[in-house]
Amino acid sequence: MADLGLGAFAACTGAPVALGELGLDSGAHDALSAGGMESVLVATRTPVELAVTSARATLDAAAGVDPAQIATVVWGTTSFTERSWYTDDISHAVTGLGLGQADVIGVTLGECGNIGPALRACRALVGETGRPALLVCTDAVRPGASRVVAPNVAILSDGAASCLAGAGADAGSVSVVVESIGQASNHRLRALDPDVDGMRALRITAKGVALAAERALESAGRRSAEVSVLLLPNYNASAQTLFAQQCGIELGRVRTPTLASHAHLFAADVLTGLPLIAAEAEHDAVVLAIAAGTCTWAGIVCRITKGW
Amino acid sequence: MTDQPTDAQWLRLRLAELGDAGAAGAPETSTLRELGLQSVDYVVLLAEIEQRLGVPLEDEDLDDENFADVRALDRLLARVRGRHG
Repeated sequence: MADLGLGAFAACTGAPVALGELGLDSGAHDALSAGGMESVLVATRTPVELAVTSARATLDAAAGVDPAQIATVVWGTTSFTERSWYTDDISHAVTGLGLGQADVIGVTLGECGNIGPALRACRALVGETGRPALLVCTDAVRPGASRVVAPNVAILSDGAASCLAGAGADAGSVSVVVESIGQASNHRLRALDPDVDGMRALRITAKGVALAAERALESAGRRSAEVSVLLLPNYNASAQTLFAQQCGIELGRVRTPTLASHAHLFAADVLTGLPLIAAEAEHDAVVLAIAAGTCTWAGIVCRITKGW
Repeated sequence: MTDQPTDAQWLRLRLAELGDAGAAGAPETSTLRELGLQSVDYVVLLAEIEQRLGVPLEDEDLDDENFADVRALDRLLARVRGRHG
């Protein structure tokens, strides 16, 4: 598989609201705060508006890249079902970014795991066109919906994150090279009632994480011992322990650099965490990032680069 | 030579580490939640049980009632060990 370079990371999120101000029940509050979450990001703007601001920042950060060269926009979101957020055709958004002739491809059904299929789409499209793609993941909690991810493993924030994806320097200042993406899905999970079949449901999740990680590592020709950093979704400590166990990587290598500040930003956790990892890691450090949707899990093997 | 802990001893050690309420002197009817475990911790424990016994648990072993309390877990370990000799 050809490597895919990622650079010009940016994000646009809602404003922080302390956990204590959300009116959570004490069980949820205690589990989330014990897991390291301090606040959630609450946006008044729609996911489309958040994505446009983030994407504009990515284009600004990639000053050497001509927007006309960007052939594709890969738009990851689990919010397409909220039609009020997408009443203004998304074409207006990309036109406003100066990308009026880019193909826009939506990735939506993987929910918080959308980053896996979105990166797979980027890799295929960059390979096909030979031109960079703009990747953006954007989501928000629907009005009236709970922000708590059962069973109290995370709390959802509103926001977008973006980057350029390319085969070389055409992705701007590349800091992350994606070596492989492994994906696993099990849609039977949706049929299980977690109140009755909690163990079976959690077991399927655990197996999904393990399989995604295994596929990504195998595809990259890497062993888990080579992984310097296991970048996990912004979940609490129990979930981190479970995910690390399933990846065969000890807890000491787990990082969730945006956990306290961002809480769980849907599929954008990986895109907000990677640039922070890249800034502090050594050249050629290997990162395994994990993303988890309800029924879809992704493992992404990356290599940090200080110059590609 | 070091004595290996029995399944029951091992189980209580693991529950004490995974939970935050202390399992050493807890009654057998203590639920895992009372011992400070969250439901995600149950799956961590499940994988550790499989590793200790050297066999995968079967679907019938995954009924939630098998993870209800310490006594139920004792029975589960004994049953799986008995099944595989």
